[in-house]
Amino acid sequence: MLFNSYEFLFFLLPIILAGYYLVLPKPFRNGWLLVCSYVFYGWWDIRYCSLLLLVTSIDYVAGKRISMARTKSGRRGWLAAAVCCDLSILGFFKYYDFGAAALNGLADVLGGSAPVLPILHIALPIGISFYVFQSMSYSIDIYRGIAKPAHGFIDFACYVSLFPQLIAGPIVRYHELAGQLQQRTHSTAKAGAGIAIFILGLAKKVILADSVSLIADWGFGASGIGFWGAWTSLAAYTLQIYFDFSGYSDMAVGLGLLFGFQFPQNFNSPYKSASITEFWRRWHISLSSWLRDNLYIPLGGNRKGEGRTYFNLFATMLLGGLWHGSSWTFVLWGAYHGIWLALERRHGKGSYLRRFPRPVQIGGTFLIVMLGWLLFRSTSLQELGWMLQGLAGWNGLGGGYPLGGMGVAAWAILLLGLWMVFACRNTWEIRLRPTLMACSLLLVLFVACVAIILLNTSSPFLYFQF
Amino acid sequence: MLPTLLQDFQNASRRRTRSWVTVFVLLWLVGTGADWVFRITRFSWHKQIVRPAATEPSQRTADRPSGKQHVVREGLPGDLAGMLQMPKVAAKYMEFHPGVVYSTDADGLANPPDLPSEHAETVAVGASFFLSSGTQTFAQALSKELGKPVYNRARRGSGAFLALRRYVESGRFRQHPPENVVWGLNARDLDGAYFARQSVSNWFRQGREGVGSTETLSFGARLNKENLRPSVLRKAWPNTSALAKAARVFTGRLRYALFREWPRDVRGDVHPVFGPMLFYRENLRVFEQMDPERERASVVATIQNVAEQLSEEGSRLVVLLIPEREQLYREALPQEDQKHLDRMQQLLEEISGSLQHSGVSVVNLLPIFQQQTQLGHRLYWRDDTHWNDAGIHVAAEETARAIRSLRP
Repeated sequence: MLFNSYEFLFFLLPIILAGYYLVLPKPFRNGWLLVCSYVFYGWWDIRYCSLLLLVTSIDYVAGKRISMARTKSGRRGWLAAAVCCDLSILGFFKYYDFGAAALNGLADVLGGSAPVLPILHIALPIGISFYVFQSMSYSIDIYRGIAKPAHGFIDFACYVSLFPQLIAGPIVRYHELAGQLQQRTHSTAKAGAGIAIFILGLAKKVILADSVSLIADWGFGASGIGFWGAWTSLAAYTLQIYFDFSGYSDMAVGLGLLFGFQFPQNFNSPYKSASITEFWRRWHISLSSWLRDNLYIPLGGNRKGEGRTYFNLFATMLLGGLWHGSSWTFVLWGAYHGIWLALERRHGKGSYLRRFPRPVQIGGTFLIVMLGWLLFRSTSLQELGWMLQGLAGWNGLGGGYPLGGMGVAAWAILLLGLWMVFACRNTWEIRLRPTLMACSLLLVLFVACVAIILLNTSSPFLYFQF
Repeated sequence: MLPTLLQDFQNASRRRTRSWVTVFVLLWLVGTGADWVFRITRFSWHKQIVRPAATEPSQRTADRPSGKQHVVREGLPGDLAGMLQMPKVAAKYMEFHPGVVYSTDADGLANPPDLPSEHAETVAVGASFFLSSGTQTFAQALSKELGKPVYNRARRGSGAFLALRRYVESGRFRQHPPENVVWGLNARDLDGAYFARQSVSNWFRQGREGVGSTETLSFGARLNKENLRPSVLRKAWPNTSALAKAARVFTGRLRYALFREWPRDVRGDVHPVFGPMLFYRENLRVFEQMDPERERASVVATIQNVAEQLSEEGSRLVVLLIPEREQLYREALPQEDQKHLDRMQQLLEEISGSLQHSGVSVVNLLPIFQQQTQLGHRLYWRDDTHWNDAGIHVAAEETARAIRSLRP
């Protein structure tokens, strides 16, 4: 189920809230959230729930064992077992086909006749990368001694499956939420702020991201695209991915507040960064800090010499790229950012443009990030080539691209989006008091979002086939 | 770190935040509640999920021999004119629709033979095309052509599959299987994936065993689990939502007023021969997604399965492929909208060819309808998705010819 869907907004959410606040006594609230989260997740495919339960059980047992183990090697053994199981599950469901195809390709080059591994066409369970990392963080936190084992399986399963952040983050680590699972406050201030943040996130996703996606989709995949078209499409995609992802994170934070949870900030105006190093402190913060603490630092961080630091940065970003999806374009994207981070580290953790005023540094960083999204968005190396030709102006300025045919609204929203990412406060910085004016504005925004969602998902009454 | 907004709310007076939250929650609950009331009252959505327990067929016929009377008032606008939701704009495209009164018996069959002891040897099973909508229905026209009574078993808005399924599960089919079952399939419904999901043999088996694909609940009602699948609900809920209707009406009117753009669902155009006509954009979207290569195999396999099952019960299947209006009046549509129509023509020809090859009787109306249209006969209403008297007449003639050719 998606937050921007009819079934969530007008069916499941009212039921969850009614059950949570009106029907069930406090001790049953985590259990209720657990049940609802499985319904939310099973809505796609009920079979996925068993995988979620399996990952949850592995880390629950491992966490208990780690805390009970008397020797360091025992603790390390149980942690290794949990991490291996989690990564095997993630690896199988997300990367098996990719790996098998790569291996078969390699065997083919080396002169082998038959494929080494069969391609299984495994359906990717939604959100698996998020919840595997989240669940794994429990075993790691207990191993490190920064969290105590969960009080019961229900509390822990509730933490792993918590529907607001189950499928698209933020990846909340166990020690950040352990206290809140035990005891959290509920107030009208939290609920009001939750509603406001949820609506702002919904508007980012439905109004901004989905509108600019029209422009982005026009450009990517079109051969012979001209200079303006290519740059406009790339800018549109750069905005789309930010508004889409951060909008979803905002909705998660808002929903969390409705149930008394406080999730960490996931985006902090990333396009206002003056360097790539700063960008990664502002973009998908929950993932970059997870990778920093659980991959970069264990690899040695910056404590093992200059060369090793660059390697660690590069390796972390390469794996971070692969985390986003099983395709060579994601690997390239990770490597691209890894190289930039290493170069900036060599330059004293700063931009190469640091002698220039900050707006120039921001512009330069934005350009680097945009070219990174080109790798991220291209579905094949051929598509990447077409876009690069367009960006370089090989196909002329216009290149047959329907620049005028996109509708006034999409253009207006593209410009509005650019203004917002550079000049406006983000959702965490917005000041909003519970006034009549704010209430009316948010209501209008909510109604507009609902109207767009319903327009896009419903067809007229003439044919509705049950 | 906390969002500033949360701090602002925490610093505001408790009374103010409470009223703020109350306003939001109340409005949202009212919207949600109203939408569900609309869904139940206007669409009887609950009946798709829970049906009353069935009684024995003989009892049902004896209890309610006369069934139900249906009145369609004259002068109502066509469905496309209604859907446009802009009466002034729609007026340019509207034409007069005559009213109809007809009755259905306890098994939902209209147009019965004169004597209650008789049973028609031909039954027309389909969706809204068989209910509409001139001075006579398709079954009545076919009856005239054949010179024999033809039952009409049509269900509006539920698709040809549900209509056929309900019919073969009914007591009437089980007690008196007809000689011919004419099954009307619309071009836009030839979605291979949808056909592939139909486990046809189950309907017949369950029909024979007297049990539906439903479970008995303790209070005697039956639960239709098929319609509770998330993939079905995901489509069904927004399609039966008052909020969605309001959103469509509002944005449609706004866009027309501001930019003279047609709404998402309906557009008006002027045909060079037939003048102003309304078109259903959803059909064009459906055509865009269809791929003859992909659809043909599943559609043909499923129809063959239906034909085999019917043949086991002693009935013959006659498939009637009904084109959509967009396929006949394509000259009126913008170039952009015409590009997928050729594929649809190909799909209908391929399905028709494959079915004939495998011995299933099929009437593809598209070629004859195109021919009649070229001769200047308008076979569809200006303001409605369905055929008019002329269209019904041509379809009945062609079907009667096919049925006569089947006779030993």
